[in-house]
Amino acid sequence: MRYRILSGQITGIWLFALAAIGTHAGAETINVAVASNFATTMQVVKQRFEAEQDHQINIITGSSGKHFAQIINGAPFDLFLSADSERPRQLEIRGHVAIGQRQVYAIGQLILWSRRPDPPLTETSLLQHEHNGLRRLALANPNLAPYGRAAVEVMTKLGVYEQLRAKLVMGENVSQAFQFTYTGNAEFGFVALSQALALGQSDSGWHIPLDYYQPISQEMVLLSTRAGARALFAFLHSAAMAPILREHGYVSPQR
Amino acid sequence: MIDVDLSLNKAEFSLKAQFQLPESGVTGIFGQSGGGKTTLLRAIAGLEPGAVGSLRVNGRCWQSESIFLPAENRHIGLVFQEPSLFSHLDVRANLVFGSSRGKGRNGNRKAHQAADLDHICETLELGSLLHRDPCSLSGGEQQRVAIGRALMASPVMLMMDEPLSALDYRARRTLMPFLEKTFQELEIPVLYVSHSTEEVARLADHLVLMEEGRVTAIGSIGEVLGRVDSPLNEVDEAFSVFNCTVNNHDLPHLTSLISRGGEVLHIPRVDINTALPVRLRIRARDVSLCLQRPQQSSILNVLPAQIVDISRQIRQGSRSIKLNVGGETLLARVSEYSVQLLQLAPGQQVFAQIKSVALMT
Amino acid sequence: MLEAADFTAFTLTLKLAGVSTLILLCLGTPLAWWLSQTRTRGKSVVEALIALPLVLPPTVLGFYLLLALSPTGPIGSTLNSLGLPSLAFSFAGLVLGSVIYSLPFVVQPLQTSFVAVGRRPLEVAATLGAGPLDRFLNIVLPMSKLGYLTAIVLGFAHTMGEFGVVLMIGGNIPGQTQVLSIAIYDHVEALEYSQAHWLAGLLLLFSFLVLLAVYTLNKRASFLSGARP
Repeated sequence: MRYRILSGQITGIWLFALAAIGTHAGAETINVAVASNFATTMQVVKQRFEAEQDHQINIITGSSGKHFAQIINGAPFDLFLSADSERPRQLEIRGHVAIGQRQVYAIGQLILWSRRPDPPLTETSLLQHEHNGLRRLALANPNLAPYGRAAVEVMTKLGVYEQLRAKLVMGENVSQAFQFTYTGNAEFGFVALSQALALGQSDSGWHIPLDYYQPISQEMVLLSTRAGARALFAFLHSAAMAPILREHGYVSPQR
Repeated sequence: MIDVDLSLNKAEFSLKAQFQLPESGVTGIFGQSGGGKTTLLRAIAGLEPGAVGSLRVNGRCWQSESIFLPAENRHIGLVFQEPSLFSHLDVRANLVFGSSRGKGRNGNRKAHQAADLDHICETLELGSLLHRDPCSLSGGEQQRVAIGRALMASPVMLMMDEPLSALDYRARRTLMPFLEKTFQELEIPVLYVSHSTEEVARLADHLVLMEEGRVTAIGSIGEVLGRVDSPLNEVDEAFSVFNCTVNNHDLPHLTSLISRGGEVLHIPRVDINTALPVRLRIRARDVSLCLQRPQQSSILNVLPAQIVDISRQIRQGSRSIKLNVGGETLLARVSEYSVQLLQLAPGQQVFAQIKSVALMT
Repeated sequence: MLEAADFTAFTLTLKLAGVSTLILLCLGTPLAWWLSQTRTRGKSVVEALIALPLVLPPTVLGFYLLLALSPTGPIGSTLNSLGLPSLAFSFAGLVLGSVIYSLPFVVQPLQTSFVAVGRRPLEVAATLGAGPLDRFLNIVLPMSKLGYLTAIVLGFAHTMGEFGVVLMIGGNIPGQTQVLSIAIYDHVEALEYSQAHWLAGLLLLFSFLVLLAVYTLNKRASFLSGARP
């Protein structure tokens, strides 16, 4: 037992040493702050990127608001993938980002989803909310999350926002809105297509047309000048990303 | 009549007690620590739920196979070794705690309570303490309040578990007269647990000896103490009690006393009223025997006596000898060698030399 | 500056903490008393269960509550079959979560002070004719005054500062489930730092004043009751 612990420590030291040597050889470990909703997709990006390049990616997931606060207080992130476009813009205004180093990396898609696959949801599911037993409708906080803002836009467009107001429950982010819906505590929820896809249960939801709401542009900013960070920044808005994004429920900004 | 037949099994101790006690007077429950005295008392009080058997007090069944009267319905006054006053109540509130819950009294309870309170405050000198906080009192004062609290509840029986042993010598000396005064006034039976020969000799009318959870002797104090095979001999604690009255202070440096049998005894001078009853405790090991009255001895008290009984058992080379001194029982501890040498036998007339006595007032 | 919604959140938080503390006292008293008296083997299991919120991240508790409250979960389905409304996203649901979450903060000080009372005063009271309820009300309760004070403060304060559980089962409904900690979090997330400052400052000041009052009272109480240090 003791031997095993020791060997674990030795392995750890080895890895650390390797990483240090790697840095000197031009390969880098870069810290990427990633919005929670993009974390799963980012794992795929990481595999692909690390297979192609020498650099290593260290993913730090969390809420974009928290990441933002950490960045303006000096957190050592090389790259920040936000869940929205507002925070990256703010960072640019505050001078944390050089001009031209802010890019849309993905466009989110909104879906009206329910835990019960039957009957499949459509536009009428919202219009007839009085009749189909809808008591709670989950969405992300529209003040904080673009998915929430988009959900409000959809309801307003359909003219049901005021009527539905009393039934709305808000998650701090779209992950929470999904939790509320997934556990059945809310019958319907405005969630991200990427979340429903991850469960393999997107078919029963209403895929809301993209022209019903302003695009949910997720932007990233480059925060350092390190070679690895620049390489990943370039990779994230390359054409190579398109199939990955599509597979995970995002629209590629490269159209 | 108090009819006790209780047993209790604990992990490393078992109690099995069967005896009867009269309905009045002070019964000392005496024995070494760990002998089961406290457990017996707690079982009688209803504080040992594991105790089985039967218990009848004054014709009322407190415990049997089918009955277990909870402690709060037994109406006993119990004074523990530590005063255990309620720290959140002042002295007065402590005193009336039980009396305001009593169910036995009819009529104007408030008036009774006030009268009892006055009386008990007077007996135990608590008047000036009534509004004090319990933890501002001395140990002896606290114990007086605890006794008063138990009595205020008008119990059918008073039980005390080593009430003096947590106190220092001075506090014990001060509290003793309070106990005597209280016991003299009480009409209810008192069970007094102690491992002190002094307290028992001074306070008890009856005695229950306990050892390892069993009752080894029971009876009036004279009977129990006077037995030559008394378990007390095993621990070299055997003693006799002489009831005397103060005769005079005529001799310089001496006080003379007269026993109930008319014998005169002398003790170093003490200032007490003549005609007052006092008790003397005389240890068996302080009594030796002579065939003739010794002349020119430093020993003050030499009394003519008749041998009543000689113990068969020899402990540490000595035998216990029971003597009759003018009708009172006196125990002596004499070496087996001397018994042989003097050819001591029951019926023989001898002289008892008493090396020291302890005055119990 | 603060908006009306922030004040609503503030009063809602006070209400949540007050109601939860009251329920906790009613629930915690018999529970703590049982724990302080029993010698059964099940005691350790119950103690461990009550202490769980001390070690678990609140989100774990919140997550399981969310599952339990759902229509297919044990609590949700029971309420459903009784025709009662669901507890998720409601004030009652938050109270339930707070009660579970703050239970050890109330039970443990009570249990400690019940144990500290000891057997002796209760035995004395019994011989003086006091029955079980009488003993509890007139001996145990007054002697456990400081334990209750501690339990109330800890229970109240812990519920005031609660975040994880509310986050999971609240749904952020103004006046119902939008409590102070969530409102602060939202301001921070929305980059409204000055409002966050105001609200956080208010919470800080309030908590400090409550604790200050309690410690002052505590000192006086222990002085008055003559408790020795």
